[in-house]
Amino acid sequence: MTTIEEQLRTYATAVAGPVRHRCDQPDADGSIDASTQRPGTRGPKLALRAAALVLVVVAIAAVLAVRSRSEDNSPASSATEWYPLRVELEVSTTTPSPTQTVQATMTVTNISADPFEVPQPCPSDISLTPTAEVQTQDNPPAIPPDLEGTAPSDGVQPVERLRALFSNFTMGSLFQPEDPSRPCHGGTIELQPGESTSTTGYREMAGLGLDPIDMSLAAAAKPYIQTRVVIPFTMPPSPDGVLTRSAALDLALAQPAVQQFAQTAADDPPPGEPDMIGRTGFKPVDDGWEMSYESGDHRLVVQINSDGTGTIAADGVESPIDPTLAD
Amino acid sequence: MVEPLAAAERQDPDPRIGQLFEDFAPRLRQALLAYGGSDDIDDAVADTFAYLCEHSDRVLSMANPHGYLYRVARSRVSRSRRRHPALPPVPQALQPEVEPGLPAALATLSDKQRVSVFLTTGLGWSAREVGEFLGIGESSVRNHCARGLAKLRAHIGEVTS
Repeated sequence: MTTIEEQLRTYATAVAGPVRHRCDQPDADGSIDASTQRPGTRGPKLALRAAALVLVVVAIAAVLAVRSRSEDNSPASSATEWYPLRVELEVSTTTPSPTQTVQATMTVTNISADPFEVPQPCPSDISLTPTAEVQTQDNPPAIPPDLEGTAPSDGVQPVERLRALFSNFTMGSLFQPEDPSRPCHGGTIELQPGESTSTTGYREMAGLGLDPIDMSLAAAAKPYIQTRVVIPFTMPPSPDGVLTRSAALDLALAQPAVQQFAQTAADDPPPGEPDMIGRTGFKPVDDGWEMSYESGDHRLVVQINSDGTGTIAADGVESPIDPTLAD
Repeated sequence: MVEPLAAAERQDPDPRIGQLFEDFAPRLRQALLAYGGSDDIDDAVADTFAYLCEHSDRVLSMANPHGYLYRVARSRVSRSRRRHPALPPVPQALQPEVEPGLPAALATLSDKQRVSVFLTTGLGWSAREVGEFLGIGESSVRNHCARGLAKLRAHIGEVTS
């Protein structure tokens, strides 16, 4: 089974091609050679890719996963071989403290006797993801509840739709380059037999915004989902006195002003939208959380401090949060 | 009188422009491809670079020059392409692993859904990078991405390899 995500990666890589590491100004004749952006149009590379695709089918059954994990706060590693690639993932710890920065390195090695072209790995290829949503060949990524095609009148309460919108985690938490101001933009690299390439990413645990649910560190040599390598990961508990993301959401949705806003937004969806679909924001702020929702003419901003106090701004009307409404 | 000055400026451009565009142009091409298809990209990129040269002081002083230039480039994509994005067909060598109807299915998504899905899921951009281009937050990018994927899944489903 080829997932939508896998198809997208294969297609996008082929048509949008590698990132060029030079200024893409027009050539002297005013043109830009689009073929240089498309590895699929290059003869030898095309043959190599076609051969690789055939090998994918043949080699899936030969996937070998070697996994090791330490139980204490020490480095862990895991590796997957998917001919002609071996992908190894190392992480500085799988049981970090709430203030720790986790470092992870993915190394891709060509284990075949022929050159093989792969996208240059980037730190964002490594992600921290709820285990249930880790994308593997046998486990396509979970998606949030179907928020479209279901009108509010079908019985789904607006406040629950709002909860679903705020609970969207599907993309996981991506690792960042050491210098976030210099993001990695990939490109492709041709690995010679035995040659490796690697990337190292960093992820601060503070402010990550995820509750201590069953998590995994996952990485793959894009676009080959068969190279996915996974390491179980234990999220650190939230420090005392700090509201978790889910607790903040529960408290916000328990507020009458928020519930009334949800009903109003559901009754007045933006033109062209079948129901209350909007842009959501959910981020840690200095001493708590800020949730925002915008749909058509309706806008909600909820700020919740760690002690449960805070403010609600619903369509411009401000009101305080009642911390006693928390479960 | 004007032309010699303009020529002199072209010979000695602000080095920040070259650096900005060197970092930016490859990603701009990818984002424009997702937005409107491949037909107008070359012209849009060239026009954007010309705009950057003409307004370098203003653009370089912006907090998010990439997002601004992306909007400039988008405005250069023809109106017909904006309404009916023409993404390249699936190369023969990728079929049947990639469903031939994928480009048409992508074209049915909203602009932000299509750009978010194509750049994050397809090309591995981070939500933050896409948000910078689209001028929206990371969570919004993730929302667009999730909805876009759901639509694609409903539209073409999965194919057996």
